[in-house]
Amino acid sequence: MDLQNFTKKISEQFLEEDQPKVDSEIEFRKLPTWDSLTGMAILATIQDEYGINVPVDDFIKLKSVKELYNYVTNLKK
Amino acid sequence: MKAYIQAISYYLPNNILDNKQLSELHPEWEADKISQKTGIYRRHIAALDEFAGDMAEKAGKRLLAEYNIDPLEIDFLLYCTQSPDYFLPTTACILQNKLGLSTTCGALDFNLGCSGYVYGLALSKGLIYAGLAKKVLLITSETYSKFINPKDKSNKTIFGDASTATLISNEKGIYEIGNFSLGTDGNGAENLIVRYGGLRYRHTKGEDILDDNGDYIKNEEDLYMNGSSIFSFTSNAVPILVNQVITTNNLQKDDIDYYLFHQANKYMLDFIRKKLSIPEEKFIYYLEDVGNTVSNTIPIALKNVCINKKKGKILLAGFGVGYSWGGCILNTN
Repeated sequence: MDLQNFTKKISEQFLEEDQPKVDSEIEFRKLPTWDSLTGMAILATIQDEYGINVPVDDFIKLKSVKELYNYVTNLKK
Repeated sequence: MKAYIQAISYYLPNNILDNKQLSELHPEWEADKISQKTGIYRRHIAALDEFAGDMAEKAGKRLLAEYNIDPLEIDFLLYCTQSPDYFLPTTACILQNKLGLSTTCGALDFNLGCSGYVYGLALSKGLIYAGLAKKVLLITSETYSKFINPKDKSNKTIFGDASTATLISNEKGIYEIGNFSLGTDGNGAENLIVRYGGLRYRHTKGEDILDDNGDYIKNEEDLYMNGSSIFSFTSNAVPILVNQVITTNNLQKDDIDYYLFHQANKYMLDFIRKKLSIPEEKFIYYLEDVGNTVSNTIPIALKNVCINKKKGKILLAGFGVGYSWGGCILNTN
């Protein structure tokens, strides 16, 4: 799994108008269409695609896609 | 021997909670933006002195009138609710009386939410196949609004009240009821719960629990839903359920003409739709004007979107509180 593909998968959980804005550095919770449902979809996607269950308490602390990616790849090791 | 859905009617309380009112009650809550995601713009809310039993009676009477059904021909009443009028007697017994059904009619309540309608169809089919009934009246009625805390803007946004009535019989009707796949996982019990008020915590008082920002989290007297867990459960369980329903009906995926899932919220349904690679034109939505009405969502969508409009095989899937889930095929042919 590479960062680019991971970022694409995360961006797809946002509504279309926000998808182009999602890069690896952005604080994704600040995007206009972010809400708790987006968060749930991201966690479900990570579970489906990468088999990793990110606890909600840890997820809250991860601000950018890159931080999320690093967390998931660390867990996979 | 076959079992058919003959008729469906429903009732919605008069009072409507729209986004304008939600924004007025909760100024920091951008109700319109949330509607974009949830697909819900209006919810009907039972009046303060209107209860699930009242609404059930209205839906039942509407069905009898709309389809010109003789109440004395009903030989079984199944009533699905999580908002019973009393601990006892069984509300279905009261409804037998109010609907003018025969005293030779069987009647019982069953307590299920989002999976309730599918279970109701399964029980109805079972009663007919066992020779215990020929005409089953299945009523669903729900008033989650009465469980929702005034500070709980999330749940207020999603849930609506409603009641439905369906006639199932062994005579040819609108839909032939196919085979079922059912499931249960009590491990998820804590994720959608009204903890206090039942016998286990009958007189315990709850208090509003807030987070560090002063936002409402929960009150044990009121409805609590752990959205993340429910989303995760649904995302895992529903694809498996769908495949099991297809298999148990000796079908292939391509044989399914339409998919009608419990209308929880549009965003989550769309997520599952994509996960299952179901094309948009096969996927049924009906929640803009009513919201998530729990066990009522599937029959309301059938009535408004499917009957006389969509032909072929419809795959129903109900899933949620319990956790409980169930699916089946309805066929117009």
